[in-house]
Amino acid sequence: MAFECQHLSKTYRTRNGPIPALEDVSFRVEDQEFLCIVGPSGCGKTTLLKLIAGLLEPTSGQITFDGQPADGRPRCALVFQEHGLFPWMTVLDNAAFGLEMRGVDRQERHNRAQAFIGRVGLGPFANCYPHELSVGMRQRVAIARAFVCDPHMLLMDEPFGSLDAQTRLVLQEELLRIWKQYRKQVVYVTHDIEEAILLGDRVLVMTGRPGGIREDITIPLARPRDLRAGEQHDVAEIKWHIWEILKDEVRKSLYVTA
Amino acid sequence: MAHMGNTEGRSTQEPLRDRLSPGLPVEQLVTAFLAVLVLALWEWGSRTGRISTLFFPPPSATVRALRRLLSTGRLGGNLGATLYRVFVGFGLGAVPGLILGLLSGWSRQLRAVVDPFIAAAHPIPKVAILPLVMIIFGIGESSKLAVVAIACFFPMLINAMAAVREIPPIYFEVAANYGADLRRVFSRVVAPATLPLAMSGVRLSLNTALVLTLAVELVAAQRGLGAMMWLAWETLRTADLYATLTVTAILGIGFNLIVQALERYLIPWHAD
Repeated sequence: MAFECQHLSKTYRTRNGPIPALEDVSFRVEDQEFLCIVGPSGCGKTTLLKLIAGLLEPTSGQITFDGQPADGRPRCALVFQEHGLFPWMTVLDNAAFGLEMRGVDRQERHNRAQAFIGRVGLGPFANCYPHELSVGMRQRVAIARAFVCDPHMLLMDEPFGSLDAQTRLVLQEELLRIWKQYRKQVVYVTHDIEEAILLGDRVLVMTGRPGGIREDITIPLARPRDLRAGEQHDVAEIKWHIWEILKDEVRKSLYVTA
Repeated sequence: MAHMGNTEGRSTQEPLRDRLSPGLPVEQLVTAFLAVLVLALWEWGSRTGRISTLFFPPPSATVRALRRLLSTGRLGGNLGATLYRVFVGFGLGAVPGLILGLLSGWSRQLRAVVDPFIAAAHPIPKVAILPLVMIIFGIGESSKLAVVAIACFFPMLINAMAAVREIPPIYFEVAANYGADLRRVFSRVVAPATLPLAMSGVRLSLNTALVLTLAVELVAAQRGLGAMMWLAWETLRTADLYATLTVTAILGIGFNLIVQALERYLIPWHAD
């Protein structure tokens, strides 16, 4: 199911007056497509994800799924940067949470969650609490939780943003491997250009606040991809191109705040 | 277990200090030795007349008094009266405090109404309202329970309210994203997320209940540990006073141990 954002705008009302977070954002994501969004910090990337997830209402504009308005929203699972796991639930219960909310009975949801925990390499940790795991392991649980409930669409908000560089590389490959198997539609927000190019079929580059779409770039890399993909000549060109745009936007947002 | 050894695995190395003195509870031994030393000096000093037995009867006299109070049943009856007041007063105050606290933590409107009342009533030392409560409820048991209940109400209310307000918004977003209804948001998010602070409220309330029960018994009761202490004072039986004080101390320690055990059982995800 393709979905489309049409002229989305979001303005937050605060005590200090309205703050525009997003302005006139329009784009389309095809079925099974992996879309990455990069932009300077504070450009409303998270706001955009929450609008798509239905956690926020847009101030204007609309989101349609196969041309239908958002009421017929397909199931989507949001993966947060960190702290998205419930500390009072074991790894198993966290991973099974989506199924539990859908009323799947205990045995069934535990079986399915256990299988997925194994798939992200955490089988032996099913009965641990999140505080007993490293940040990287927690993010794997968060990804398992999202995949377990078989959503139509995955929304990921810098899921590896707080990991060290090596762990991030490992998890990126892991994500690609799982994604290849299940072929979900993904909207993946990151501030890491290389990550965006490695993972995405397309990369949207956003402007600083209020966020808008600056450029829509198709990544011409064949799949399956691995870390070596980043070394290809045309990829280096794209990386440089995105950085040129971003540098410009980051600078603008720095001058605004200064 | 393939992932345990890599860079994200957690270090299991003990701190250097612990490795230098492996397994030897030296500090505990020193503490125990000091306690025994003080008691021995005290015993020797009061037996040889170096310190006044009127103020500081020898520890052995306190132990004898404790035995006598136990065997005559005086201690048991009075302890029962105190425990009854502590727990019934706690229940009458903490349960409404918990409910109102959770609700007003949840609802901004209710909080706006309740907050000024808390600000006005909470700082009043609760012993001070005993005379007023006795005018209203009479000099019987109900006035004592009322004072203890009122004192337990506030710490529980304040902690429960803070507990709900401090739930990170991300948990609600996760719950909403996975389609949790209001009932499930309460049972799977609000209830467990508020437990740690709510248990702090229980701890505070229970300690307050003990303090207030003792205070009320000192001024206005025929039975209870407080009344026993007052009688011991009036009759200048200092050993009885020490004996009752010892029981009260054990009671306080016991309450804390019970709450700690309860916390470990109810909040297994809290790393200590």
